[in-house]
Amino acid sequence: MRTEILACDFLGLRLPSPLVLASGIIGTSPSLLVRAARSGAVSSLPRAVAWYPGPATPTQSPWISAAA
Amino acid sequence: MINAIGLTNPGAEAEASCWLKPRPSSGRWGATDGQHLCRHRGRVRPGGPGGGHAQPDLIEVNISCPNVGDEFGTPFAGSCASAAAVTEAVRQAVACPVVVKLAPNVPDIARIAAAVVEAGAAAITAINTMPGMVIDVASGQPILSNRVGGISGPALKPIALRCVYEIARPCPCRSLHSGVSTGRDAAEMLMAGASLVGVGSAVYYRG
Repeated sequence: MRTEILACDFLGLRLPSPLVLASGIIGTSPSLLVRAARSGAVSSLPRAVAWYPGPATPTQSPWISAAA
Repeated sequence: MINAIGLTNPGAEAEASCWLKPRPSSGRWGATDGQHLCRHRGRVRPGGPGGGHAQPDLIEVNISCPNVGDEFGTPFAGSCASAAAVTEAVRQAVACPVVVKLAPNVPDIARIAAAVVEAGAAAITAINTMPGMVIDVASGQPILSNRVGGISGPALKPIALRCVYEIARPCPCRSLHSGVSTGRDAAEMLMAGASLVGVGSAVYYRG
């Protein structure tokens, strides 16, 4: 597939396509975290923060499978 | 999808050290949280959170997380004045372009977008998740430990499209947007006025 036609400029950056990783992506598996790291996107606060105790997403609900 | 993860992260110093490692991609984007930054202005250093050595290409400032009210208070994205104030604080503290992530649950997102652009934002991210709730009818209790969470994914896309359309018309700045699961969704976002298309929940489903 030719991807060069999707290349674009954004705030002085040359990007291979207009698709970017949204902030706040849920790092629920090592593979997702690897993909996020390879994209160059990270999220941080001045101090470390733990995530909320579970459940943080429903596991048996249409709200977790709507796009599956 | 609905979730309430919070703002989990190892802290800016740890993140900044990760940025210094060789990466296969050229772009280095940083995302940080304005709800916290405004209360720690002295810790936002020139060059970005975690110190100037990190040198991100740009910083996205999240002033609209709907799930951290107990920790950080009402999101700054709720009003023009507070959104502009935190934008200005970050812009003065860093050397790179500042992108501000806005909330969908406001009366007029275009006005808030215009306010943060006037305060120095180089671009807008639209949108954060929409606050929502799911209850387990067997127990009568909220499913999420945080009781409420943020709706994303396909359910959010029509709202995101409307926000993109409303922001893109009066704001001369570039913008990037989310709520996309398919190529057709991305095309809709671009047609509505987005410059870039953010993909979030779809990554969860498809890895």
